[in-house]
Amino acid sequence: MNTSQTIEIGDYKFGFSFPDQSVFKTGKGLNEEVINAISDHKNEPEWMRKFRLRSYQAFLKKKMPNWGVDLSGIDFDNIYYYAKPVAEQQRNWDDVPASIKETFDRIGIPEAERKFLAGVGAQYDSEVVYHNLKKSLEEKGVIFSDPETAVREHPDIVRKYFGTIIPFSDNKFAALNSAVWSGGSFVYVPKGVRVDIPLQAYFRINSQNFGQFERTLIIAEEDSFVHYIEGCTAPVYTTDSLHSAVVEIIALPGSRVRYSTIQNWSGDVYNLVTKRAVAYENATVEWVDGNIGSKRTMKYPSVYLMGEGAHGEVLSIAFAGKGQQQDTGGKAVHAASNTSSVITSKSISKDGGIASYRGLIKVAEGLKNIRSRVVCDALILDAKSHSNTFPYMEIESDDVSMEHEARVSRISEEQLFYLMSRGMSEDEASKMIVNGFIDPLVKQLPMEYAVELNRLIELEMEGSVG
Amino acid sequence: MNDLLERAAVKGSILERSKRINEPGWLTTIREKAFDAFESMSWPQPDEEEWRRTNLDGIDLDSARILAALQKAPAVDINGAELEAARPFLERSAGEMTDRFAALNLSLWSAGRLVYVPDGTVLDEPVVIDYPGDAAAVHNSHTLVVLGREARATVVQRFSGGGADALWNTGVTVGVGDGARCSFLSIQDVNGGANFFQQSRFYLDSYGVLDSFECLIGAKLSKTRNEVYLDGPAGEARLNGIFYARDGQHMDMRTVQYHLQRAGRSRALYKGAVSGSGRSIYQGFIWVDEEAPGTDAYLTNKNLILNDGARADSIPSLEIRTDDVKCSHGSTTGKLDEEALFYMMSRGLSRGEARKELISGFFEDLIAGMPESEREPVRSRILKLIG
Repeated sequence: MNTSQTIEIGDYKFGFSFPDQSVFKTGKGLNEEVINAISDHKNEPEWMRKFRLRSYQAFLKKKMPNWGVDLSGIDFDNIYYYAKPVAEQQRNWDDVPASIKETFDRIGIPEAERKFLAGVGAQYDSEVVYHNLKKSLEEKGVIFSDPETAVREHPDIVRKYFGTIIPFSDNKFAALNSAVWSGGSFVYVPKGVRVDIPLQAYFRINSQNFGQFERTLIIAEEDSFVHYIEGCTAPVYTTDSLHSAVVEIIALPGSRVRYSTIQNWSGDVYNLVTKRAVAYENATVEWVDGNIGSKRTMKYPSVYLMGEGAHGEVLSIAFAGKGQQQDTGGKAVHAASNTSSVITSKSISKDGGIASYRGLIKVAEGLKNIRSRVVCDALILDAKSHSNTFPYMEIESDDVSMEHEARVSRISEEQLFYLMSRGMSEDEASKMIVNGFIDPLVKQLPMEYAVELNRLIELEMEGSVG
Repeated sequence: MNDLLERAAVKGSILERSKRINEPGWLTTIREKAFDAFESMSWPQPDEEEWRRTNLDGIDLDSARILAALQKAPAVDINGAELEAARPFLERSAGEMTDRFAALNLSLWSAGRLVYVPDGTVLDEPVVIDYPGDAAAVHNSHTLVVLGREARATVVQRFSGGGADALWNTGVTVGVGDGARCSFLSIQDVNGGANFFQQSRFYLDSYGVLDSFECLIGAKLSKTRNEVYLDGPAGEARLNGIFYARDGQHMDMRTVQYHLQRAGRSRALYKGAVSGSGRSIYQGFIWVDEEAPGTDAYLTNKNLILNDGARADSIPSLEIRTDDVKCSHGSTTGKLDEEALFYMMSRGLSRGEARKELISGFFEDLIAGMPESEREPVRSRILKLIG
């Protein structure tokens, strides 16, 4: 594997972008005409157009959240809601335009890795430009495509599940996404099929003021397994951009779905994402959620445990640096007996950043043998930074074991002293302690992501101790 | 128009009553200010986070009725030189009125006591303040406790009885001086049909120590808030609570630990049981200011759900604005331990007896920390509740 061209992390700090070659772009702002134009352009069936228009009405009616982070900087009228970069969907990497390829090289998809990976749905602006699914997966009946293709080619599956886990009226940003969604991933794993190689999609924003509204739907049929990985990077612009995704996961009886993501949006992006999964009998859903970038993030991946024996896990890691607010966490809703959930959160705040854990454990009435554990650890690296914890626990059954712990502290003087007495500089010692702090989460990531995350954290940590 | 005139009349009667008992001018100003705040606010709405889980719809909160009831109440005379000592605390509370209940309490409290303990004075016996309910529709009382430098005192307040449709709206203001130690116990055991609201504020000067106990037994609906302000460095506060929400009862408690100065230490420990269709909500909050390095704060909530259908919500939260802190919280919710029950039954206890032992044992660590005179009464009261 050619690692020398993987990630020049230094570039992330300053961002990079290439000339905007979008082929089709709606005007700024949102109205029914824009939505019709998106729908026309995508050649969608009438039911999807209606769904978009209904969602738009819900978006207008829904209030902005009056909790969480400050969202007053979002100007809905100053955002492009749709742009299409290239006219045709590419079937082969060689056909992908050179400038787009160059951007991908900068994110760091090495040549060897491209071949290695099962399928890469690479998103440049809001359309999937490159899609390659390994033959063996196709033979097993696994569908991995962008949702537009799925709407065209598999309307029966899409209509059965689309918008059922996160209704369009769920919250203002889910309504917005439902109205203007574009791109994302559609994953369907047939009964009994285990997808051994993680499915990956890279997402990019590369148009000034461009809001990205991708939509992901993952359906795991009975006794199947899939690991889906999504990574986000965005070049830096001076004006605010909005990223508002919706991710729905349906884990049917006995299946297991793992969804890993690290977002490293540039420092001007509002990242407001709704992620929700349902797990039926004996199904397992795991969310691994890393938040490094963005100006403001509000994201609480949730698992609804609908059948006996279901298990949900959320691993959340957040890094809040200068000017950043990471409002992240997880939710587990127990709606069946003999279900369990674990939420683990680690956050680091530095240079005046604000890291908040927000989560919910809910246990419905009349259930037996419910287990849930929530652990939140926070590290504050300087006196200017903030760390908040807002866990909610709503328990309506008696046969429940519910534990919650949270700890907030700074780097311990004793640990620093010990490492420095072994010859490390204060800077090195701090980096090592921070790496150790997030290690339990990093271990859960695929290797290339773990490497990237470690490097990002190291970069963020540079010069932080003095 | 009529409404306006009526309100002007109420305001006039506040002033008139204050004049009659020669209340100091500053206190009248606080009452007026609080009345204006009462007028400008609406009752708490369900979209306010703190009130999201407590529905006030079923309660008669007709302002005209409440004001009319309070105008009939006799004036409380706690005048004297000592009242001046409570002034800074009351003025501060008046400057931060969080909701309409607090405003109503501060403007029209007509029952109350002032406990003033001069510098260096140690009270050996607890001061017990009883607020027995009578036929009145609205009880609007305020307890004031001021401890001077290095003073020590134990204060107990008890609310009991009253009518089934009574509205209790109570306030507590406690100022703990430099190096002073205060133990404060509040027992709410009012009529099971009544509605009970309380706002308590504890202000701690440097090296001040507070042990607060809240014990919630009665009322159909109970909503209390206990806030401790660690105003001086190295203050130490413990906020303890016991609650037992039985069939049809609703208990909503909030505690706030405000760390405003360095090296403060605080602990909140709330333990409760819910049975029948009883519901409890505990919202604990720790705030650590930029100016409060060296803070050590902890909060714990333990809930025992005694049957299906009872519900306990636990919302412990932290907001921390400096790095040199040790802050954590823990929360557990569960049922009685079957193994412990089995063990006790194997030793010859009936299931009912074993259950009784386990539930009362659950509260015992908190009861043992209460002022001695109140331990036995609280213990037997809880045993009766287990039934």
